[in-house]
Amino acid sequence: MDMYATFAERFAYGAKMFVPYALIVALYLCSFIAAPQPFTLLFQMPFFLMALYYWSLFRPTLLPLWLVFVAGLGFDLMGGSVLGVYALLFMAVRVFVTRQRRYLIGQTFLMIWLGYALLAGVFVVLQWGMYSLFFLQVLPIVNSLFLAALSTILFLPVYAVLHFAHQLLPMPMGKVKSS
Amino acid sequence: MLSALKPNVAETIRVSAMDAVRPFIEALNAPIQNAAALTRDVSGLAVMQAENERLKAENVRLREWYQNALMLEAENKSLRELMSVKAPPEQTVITARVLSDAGNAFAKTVMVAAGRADGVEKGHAVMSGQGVIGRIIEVGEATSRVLLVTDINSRVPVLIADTNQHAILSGLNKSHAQLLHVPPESVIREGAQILTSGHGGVFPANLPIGVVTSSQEGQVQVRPLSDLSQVVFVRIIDHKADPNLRRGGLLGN
Repeated sequence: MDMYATFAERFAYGAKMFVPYALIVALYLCSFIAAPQPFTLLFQMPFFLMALYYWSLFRPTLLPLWLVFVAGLGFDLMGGSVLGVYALLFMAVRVFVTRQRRYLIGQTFLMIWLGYALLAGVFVVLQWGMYSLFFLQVLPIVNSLFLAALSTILFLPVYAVLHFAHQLLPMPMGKVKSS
Repeated sequence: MLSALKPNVAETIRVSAMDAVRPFIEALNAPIQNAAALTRDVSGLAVMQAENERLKAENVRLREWYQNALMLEAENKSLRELMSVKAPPEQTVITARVLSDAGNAFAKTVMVAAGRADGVEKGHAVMSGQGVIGRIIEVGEATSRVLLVTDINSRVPVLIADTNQHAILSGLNKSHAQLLHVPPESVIREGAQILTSGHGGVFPANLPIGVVTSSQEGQVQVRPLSDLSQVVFVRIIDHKADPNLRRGGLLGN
């Protein structure tokens, strides 16, 4: 968006930017919903991790590191758990995925999907390690690993929705769409 | 970690965040609750008929229990008067909806839609329809956080109903909890009721909390009476100080 853009162009740009952010916020809040049956299991999925993986891969500027830190801190605050765990883990995910994007971005969807599956598993193990260390006890992990495995299935529809939002996005500032 | 080093600061930030996010969670929750209710209605007609029959039978039994309770209450009252025992204070109950859970499997807490403005205070016991599920640990203006009995930080003084044996119910971050400080010689049968003992003054005495599911080699596992992931409404119990108990202190103070 250059400095001579009209108000209408600026409005359209803002509207297009609104969609992915609205989706991110919705996915973020979905993680906290205590849903009754039959949706209990569905709302235990790591929705925000999916969004974080997708945008770190395809549009890292949308979720800068400071915003990821704030989101993680919010997770810790609202979840009533140890402050700093999610903030650290989400930042680690953001940094790791952005570093791998050069390799992953040219790959098939299957590879991207596998990348998410691996990430979800590692995320749970790291999270388990940090909480176990904090409580000085070996906490149960099987249930969380099961949820991480299930979330790889849910990643498909979430990916489709995020991909749709990605198509709506204007090109990053200063870049020109190639024909 | 801030929550370990400065717990009060962390708590203030937490409760403010809880209050701030409440309208958004409620807005997202409403359609999900409606969809869940609709799904249950459509798919559960046969189940509802069976449930209806079961409830009718239960209602008959409960009426008998009610009559017994009235009789015992009258008897209890006259005995108390006879012995000049001060009656324990009446409990007030606040009903609230569960808004959100912890969002991860390593913390067993839920946020409920009642706070300081509704009279909720830290330490109040929280029950579902079946039994105790936890206690209030953080209170905001319009929301509160409940530490569930299955959380690894939860410790509840309890009584094994059969034997009057005292113990501590400790959370494990699993679906069940375990009893601590049970003497090795005590015999605890599976299915025994676990009640709050009232020791420590946080929970009122004799509230049902769970049943023993296994008891082997000093390891006693307890399943909470409520399925903690399915609780939609909770009752927060304001436990007033018992006039029969005296505050401790040094002589001469």
